Amino acid sequence: MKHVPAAAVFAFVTLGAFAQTRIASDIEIRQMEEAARSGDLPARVAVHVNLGELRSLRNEPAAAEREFQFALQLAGTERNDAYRDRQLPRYALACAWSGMALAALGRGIEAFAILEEAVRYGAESRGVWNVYSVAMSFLQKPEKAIGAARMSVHAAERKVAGRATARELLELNVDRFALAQGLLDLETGDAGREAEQVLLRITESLESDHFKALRKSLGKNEEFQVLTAPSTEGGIYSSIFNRAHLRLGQYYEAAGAADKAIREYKAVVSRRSDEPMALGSLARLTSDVKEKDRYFIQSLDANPFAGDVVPDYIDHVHAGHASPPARSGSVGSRVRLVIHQAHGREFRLAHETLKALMDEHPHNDVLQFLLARLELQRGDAETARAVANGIADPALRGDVLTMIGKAPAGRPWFLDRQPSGVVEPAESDLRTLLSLFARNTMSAEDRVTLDRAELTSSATFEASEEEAFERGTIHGVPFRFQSPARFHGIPAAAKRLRVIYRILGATALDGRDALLLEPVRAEAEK
Amino acid sequence: MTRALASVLLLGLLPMLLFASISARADVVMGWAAASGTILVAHDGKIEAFDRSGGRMLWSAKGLATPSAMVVSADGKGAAILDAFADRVALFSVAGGPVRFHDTPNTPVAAAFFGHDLWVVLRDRSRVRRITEEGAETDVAVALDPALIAVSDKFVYVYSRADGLLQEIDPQSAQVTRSVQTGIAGSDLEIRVTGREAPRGEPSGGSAYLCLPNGKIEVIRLALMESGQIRLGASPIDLALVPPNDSLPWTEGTALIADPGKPALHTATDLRRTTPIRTPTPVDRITITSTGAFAFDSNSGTLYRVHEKTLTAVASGLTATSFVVTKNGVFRWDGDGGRVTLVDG
Repeated sequence: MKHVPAAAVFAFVTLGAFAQTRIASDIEIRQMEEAARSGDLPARVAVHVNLGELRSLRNEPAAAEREFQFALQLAGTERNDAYRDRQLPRYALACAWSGMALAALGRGIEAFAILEEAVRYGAESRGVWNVYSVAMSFLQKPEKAIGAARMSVHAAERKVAGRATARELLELNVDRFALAQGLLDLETGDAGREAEQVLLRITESLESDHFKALRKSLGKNEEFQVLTAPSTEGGIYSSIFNRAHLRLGQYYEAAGAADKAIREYKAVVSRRSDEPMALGSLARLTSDVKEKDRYFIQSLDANPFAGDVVPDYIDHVHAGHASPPARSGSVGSRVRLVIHQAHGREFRLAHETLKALMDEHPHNDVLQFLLARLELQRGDAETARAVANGIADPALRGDVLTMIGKAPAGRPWFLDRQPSGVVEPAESDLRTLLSLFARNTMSAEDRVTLDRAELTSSATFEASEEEAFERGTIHGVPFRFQSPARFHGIPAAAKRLRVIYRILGATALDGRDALLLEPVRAEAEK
Repeated sequence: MTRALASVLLLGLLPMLLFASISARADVVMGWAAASGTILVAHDGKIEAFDRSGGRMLWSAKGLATPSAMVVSADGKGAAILDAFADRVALFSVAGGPVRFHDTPNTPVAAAFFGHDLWVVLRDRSRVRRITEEGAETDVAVALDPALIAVSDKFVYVYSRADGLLQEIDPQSAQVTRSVQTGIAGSDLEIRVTGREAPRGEPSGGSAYLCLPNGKIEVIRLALMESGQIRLGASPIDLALVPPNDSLPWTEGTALIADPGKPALHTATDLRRTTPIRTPTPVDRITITSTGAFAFDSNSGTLYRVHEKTLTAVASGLTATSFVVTKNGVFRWDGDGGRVTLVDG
């Protein structure tokens, strides 16, 4: 039998069902692509499936599907060759990978049928059962995933029953990890407790004397190789170490045991300081705001497109604790910049930053998510909905569509009711007006309504050199008067006025969309 | 195993259990009820019955979403369809009675009738479930990775691959009565029972045959539950026993063994002395009725008719479950035309 590197099979179990635990850095992608061009056919199949999964986790569904299709094609060739050459264990493994690729493509019954063929030929193979288990996780069949994982653990335990090599023990822990994943997927108390025990067995095993030499060599240099498809024992060790502690951390976090969770996440960071999920989780759980900010920055630098860290960071920025990012720098820094610019209502600048990122990373769901939010903040719910509908990831799409659903109507109420006076229009009304002007979708009738309507708002003015009132914000929406104005009895030094005005149109102020207003009168705020 | 056993009564997997195969249409399953001459097809969420010519539909009923296997009772009156992917089983009368559905978590991969009771292997639960004619369910715990099931005249036998354990279950009490250690990762289990009626409660005579991946067949003497291994070919994966017949080139009880590792098809009246037949492509499934023996290549979807010393291809583009061998020939399901068609007769 041609032996598929354990690393490739291993890579598999760490993916799939636990997207939130995964990294998908550009470096990883590049190294995986190099691996896909070399090696024997079974290894290449494995790498393409893994690449597809990485693409998927980076919210790049079209690229992911291409990888899965290619993996399916390669696995088919491998299957035919192995069968023709009467290498039946190899045939079994090729069937398993075909099943995995089909599962990744969502072709469940076909995947199941060929996986059954795989175990018919290779029921004693831990690798075949391991792939089977992960495929079932993909298909959201957790009980089948658990069943297959129990078989793979059993096969691996049989293998190490005598004298075991470090690699065989690592493979056993990989299989245990797949079992723990399946159990956690069930989301029941009993399964969770069993998963905790399995994960603790993994972490204990990794701390045992069997790996003393390996730990010693790893201790000298932090392992920065691709952990998605590790090719060395050190890589496998680091990868399973990270994932076991991460899952334990997530389990404890969900159970409300924050201290235990932090201990597990710190264990991950102690061995790999750029693990984005652990950093993101530490950011979420840490109460010290400076430390929290540092963890967020490190996490987004490691994976700028982590779908669960980005929303947490948005909350962090809104809470006012985030340090300002550089205008040029890492992708993570630029993603943070978009969030800061949107928060500061610098929508045009945020749009420009985002567009540059989207040009570099097309079809990226997290960037689409940020764009949809941005359009919504700008008051353009229609465009936001169109962008949201293009997000492939159902969770992200659902989040943003919910936000859009809660947003005010696409037109300010006063355009339809045509009142002569409007007191304290909401920020969303004013932003929607800006959006209507920007899209040039204001009808003649709407313009007539606006020309007639006098609006009353509390405005905050910026200091002016001309001893006059010229520009400021209303509910955070920038505005400028058609020309500087002086109001009888009100000193120009006043910062806040109650202003009665008409809306003439839209303009730009320091790169921000702004309303162009005609002041009618003003009074000092009491 | 030898000519002296020519008068054996074949039970084994008389209820023909076919496993899903690997081509695009993996959700069509066919079966044959010899007693009434009925061809059964499960497809597209339906169960349909056709007459022996395949030309006339007898009845149609709601079925399962993704059928994976079909089993027919020895008397041909009852049948069951498994949906291993969706964890359901449908039981029905071949004559067209109502279809009864049972949820069977988790992963019903194989089944056999003992009388009119259905015994279903629930692989991922390490259980076997008895479903009686009245619908009562009883679970029996078995070893890890149960995958194969067969019946004798007295007992139900379940083989679990992980530890290579063959367990004997009393079908009345639903208790494991005995077990024997065999090789692991077996792929086929057949039982041959001697015609002599064993006293009630006593073990049956006869033997069980288990195909093992390492070029061995395990033979278990059921009376004593003792096993021994015989070297046979490279990778014997499926074994079938020739039924009573007047037209086949082999005597009743002869074993035909598919060996894709060779590749060859072995015939043997004594497993220690086999005659290999070269196969055009590796074959891994065997089906025999009184009208012919057929070998199937699951990878290419090619079906061969087996002659005394050669094989000839009779159909291609099949899955392991999308055809059925009947008294009148081999039929396949034509999904486009929505009909049963004769491919070799």
